[in-house]
This record gives sequence, C-alpha cells and structure tokens, in this order.
Amino acid sequence: MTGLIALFVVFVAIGAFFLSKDKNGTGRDYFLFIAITLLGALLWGSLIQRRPIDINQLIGDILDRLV
Amino acid sequence: MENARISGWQMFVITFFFTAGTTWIILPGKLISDAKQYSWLVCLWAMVYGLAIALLWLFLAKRFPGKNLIEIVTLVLGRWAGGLVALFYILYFTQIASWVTRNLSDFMNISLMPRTPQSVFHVMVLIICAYAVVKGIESIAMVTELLTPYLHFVFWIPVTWGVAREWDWQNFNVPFEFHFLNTFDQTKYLLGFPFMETVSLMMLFPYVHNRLKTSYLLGVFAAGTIMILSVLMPIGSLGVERSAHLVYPIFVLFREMQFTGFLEHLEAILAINILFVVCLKLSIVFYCAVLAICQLFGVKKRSAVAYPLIWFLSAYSLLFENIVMNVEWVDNYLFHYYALYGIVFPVLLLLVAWMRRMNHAPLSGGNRPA
Repeated sequence: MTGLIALFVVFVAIGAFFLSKDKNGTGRDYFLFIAITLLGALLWGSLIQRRPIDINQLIGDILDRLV
Repeated sequence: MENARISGWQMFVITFFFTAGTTWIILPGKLISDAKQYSWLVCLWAMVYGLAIALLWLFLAKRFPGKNLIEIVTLVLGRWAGGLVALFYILYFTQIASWVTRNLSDFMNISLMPRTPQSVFHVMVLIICAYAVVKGIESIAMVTELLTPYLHFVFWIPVTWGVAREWDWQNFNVPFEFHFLNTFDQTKYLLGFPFMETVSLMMLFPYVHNRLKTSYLLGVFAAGTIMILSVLMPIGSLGVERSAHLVYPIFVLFREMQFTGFLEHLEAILAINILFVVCLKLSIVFYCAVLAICQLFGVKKRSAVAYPLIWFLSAYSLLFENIVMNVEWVDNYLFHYYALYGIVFPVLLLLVAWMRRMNHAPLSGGNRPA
C-alpha cells in the first residue's frame, strides 16, 4: 500500500510538471489528471486490500434485479 | 476536437479490426461449445444483426452531421441529462478497453508466459496504447492500414494450407438437435460482443471524409465473415468435441498443423498477430474513451486524460478473478448491458430529437468535422 501511495505521488508530481510546461494548460487539465489518477489509485488500493470495488459485480446485481 | 481526417479505406480497416479484434480468438471455443456444428449459423445471424444496428447508428449520425456520439448526446438531451448519458458512454468505453486488456493478458498468461503477473501485461500494453492515443486517430488509422497486409498474409497463408490438409467433413456430422430459440438464447452474447461494441466508432464518424456508410458496413460485414470462418476452421480440422473444450482453438490449430514437412509450430507467428490486433482494438477504444472525456469536460490535451487512465484501466482489468468469471459475466449479463448502449440510448436519442424537431440537414460531401 505504501508503494502504491508513493507511486501515486510520483506520478502526480511528474504529470503536474509536464502539464505546467504547457502554457495553454488550464485548471481543468490538472483537475481531470488528478481525479482520474485518484480513481485508478482507489481501485488499485481496493485490489491490494483484497476488498475490490467490483463494478462488474455491481452491474450484474443491478441487471439481476431489472431483467 | 482533433483536426483529423480518415479515409474510407482507413475507416474500413479500423471497423474491421475493432469488430474482429479479440472476438476471433476468444469466442470460437465457447460458441462451438454452445451451438456445436451450427455455430457458423449463429455468427451469420449475429452479423445480420450487427449490420442492422449499424444502420441505426448511421441513421442517427446522418441526422447530426459532423457530430460524434458525445456531441449528439449532449445536444439532444441537454447539459445535465446528456452529461449523465455521456458519462455512461465513457464508462462503457473504459469497460471495453479494460476487458480487451484483460483478454490479452489472459491469452498471454494461458498460452505463452504463465509465470508473468497479468498486471505487467496490462501496464505495458496500456502505456503503448496511451502513447498511440496521444499521437491521435490519424496515427492509429495509419498503423492499422500499414499492418493490414502483414496481418492477413501471415494468418491466411498458413491457415489455408493447414486447414486444407486437415479438413474432414465428417466433423460436421455430430449428433446435436438444433433448436433456434434455445441456441439464440444461449449465444445472444455474440450480438453484443463484438457487434454492439461498434457503437464506439460513432466517436470517429466526423473524421471520415468519404464513404462512411460503405466503409463502416463493409467493416462489420468483413468481421462477421471472419467470425464465421473462425468457427468453421476449428470444427473442420479439430472436430466439434475437441474445439468446444479449448479456450483458444485457433491457437491450438496453429500449434498442431504442419505447414510443410519441416515447418510447423507456427503459433508464435499467430501470437504476434494476436498481440497486434488486440493492441489496435485497444488503441481505438482507448481513443474513443479519451476523446469522450475530453469533449465532455472541455479538455484539449489528450495526454492529461490518456496517461492517468492507465491507472484506472489496469486496475479495472483485474476485477475478474479469472477467465471463468469473465465467461460467466459474458454469458449472463453482457447482452442486456450492451443493449443499453447499442439500442436503448440511440433509440432514445432519435425519439427525443424527433420530439424536439431537431433535424440537422446533412452537409454535402459526407461527414466533415464542424
């Protein structure tokens, strides 16, 4: 888990560095970059903790109720 | 939106590789298990269905020339409802991308490199595809165009030679009672995967500067034909019973056939072929996902979305614990889930557009970016 957090921090730092080099970059670019990375990191964290946020299972459960 | 142009031929090869993509290697075993020697018939009606819904999407696109799927959704349904549906489509594209990634790592793990962790394949392939996405759709289209002769050459020559030597018509005489409704129900996943996935290509329609309809429909038709051949070849060469129990019958066919007296075990060539084809499909659907996110949130830099998406896709592709869970999900839920994106949303868009009297006159000379 510590490795994942470290990787997340390094990835965001490198990404922010490259985004800041682009003069046309906007706040939305930063926001989306961090938000998507955070979503991915959360999913990875849940897998590492062996309590996955199983979206496939969730879709399956919803379809079971509907169909 | 990217200022790109795709020719009709490029759209044809993109549609073909996107539709055939992972299907021709993954589905034959399962299809033969469900429909035995009649599995080619299942592919035939699935192809007809694929062409019919492709016409529906083309009809929708024709009413909004120069607009891609996300633009149409937000235009017709408005900012909030349209934004919600667009988010659903983004989820759909990312799901397809992660499942394709998983299909590739399953194949590599089962057939070639069983001791390498699957996440290694995921990250490596996704980094390459993210780079392709950042470079743009023209680059992906050109690579697809460039690889097309090689991919066909190294597949069709050995397979035609090998299958011709091993073919036995007796393999089609297996006792099996064919009931249309039962078989249709058991194999309805084929209608979704791959044919309803091609709705993703609506994201590319505005880039095609000529013969969109012809290239798109021909691409679906060619992929359907490949599917029919992909189930006929293992049945004719390996037999129904054996093919039905194999995960990748085409791969086994390549491993066992003798090309000549001294040239055999051509599965390495096929493995490279599969790697190329799956990477092409992944790049295309990855591009659709990134473009959809960029358009919905008004972001111009694709790299700000493509590289972080590697995190999400590589994790999502690990959610199925094994290939059996994947197959069960496909069996139970795939058709209904894909119908939402392939039929329900497009029909809803057409109905709302009709009710709101939205009818954008087509531009002359095909679909050009606005």
